[in-house]
Amino acid sequence: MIRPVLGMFLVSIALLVGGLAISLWDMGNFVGARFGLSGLEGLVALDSEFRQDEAVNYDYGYPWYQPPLANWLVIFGLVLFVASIALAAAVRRPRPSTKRGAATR
Amino acid sequence: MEQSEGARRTLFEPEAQPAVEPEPQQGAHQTATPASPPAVAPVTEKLVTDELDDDEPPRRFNPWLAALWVLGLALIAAGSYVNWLIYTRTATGDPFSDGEAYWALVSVVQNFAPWFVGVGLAAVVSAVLISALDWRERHQ
Repeated sequence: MIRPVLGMFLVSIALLVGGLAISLWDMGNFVGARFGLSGLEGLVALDSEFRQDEAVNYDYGYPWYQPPLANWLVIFGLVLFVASIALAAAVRRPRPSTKRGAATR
Repeated sequence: MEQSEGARRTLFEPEAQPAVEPEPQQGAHQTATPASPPAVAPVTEKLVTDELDDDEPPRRFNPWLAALWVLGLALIAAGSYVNWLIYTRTATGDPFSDGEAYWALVSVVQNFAPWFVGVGLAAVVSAVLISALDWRERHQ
C-alpha cells in the first residue's frame, strides 16, 4: 500500500471508530438518563435493563435515534475504507530499478 | 567397460552447452576435474526458458483485489439481510415484539443497510473494473 492510500485508509478507520464511539456515547447517555445512571453505566446496562424494558422503547416519549453526525461519520468512513482498498488494489508499487533500466535512464 | 563409460557419457551429456561455463579456479591445478556439474542443470534451464517464452506473462496474486471482492460481497449480503429482516418484521405488524430487536438496534442498522448495499455494489464494480484493466494490460 503506497503512502497516500495508507493515509486514506487510516482516516477511514478513524472516521468509523469516531462515528461508532459517538453513537455509543449518545446511547449510553440516553439510557443513563432513563435509569438515573451515568453515561458509561447506561452503556453497560444497555444489554440488560434497556433491552428488556419495553417502556424505554415505547413509553419514554421518543425513542433513541442515532445522532446525524455519527451517522455521516460512519457512512463517510465506510465509503473511504472501500475506496482505499480499491485504490490499493489498482495502484502498483514501482518496481525496483534494474541495472539495465538504470543504464537507459 | 570403456565402451559402457562412453555410452554413459553420451547419454547424460547435454546436447547444448550451458550458457555460463564454470570459471577456472585460480591457483588450482589445470587438470581436468573428474566430476562434471550434474546433468540436471541443462534440463532445468530448458524448463525455465520454456516458461518465459510463453506469450502470457505470469499472473500475480493481488491480495487487495481479493479483499475488495470479499468486502463488497459481504457488504451486499449484510445490507440485503438487514433490509429483508426489517421488511419481514415490519410486514408482520409488530417488529419489536420479541425483545431481541429493540428500537435502538433497528434504528442503527436501518440507517446503514442501504449504504451497505450501495457501497458493496461499488466495491464489486470497482473490483471487476480493476480485473478487466489488468486482463487487458496482460493481453496487449
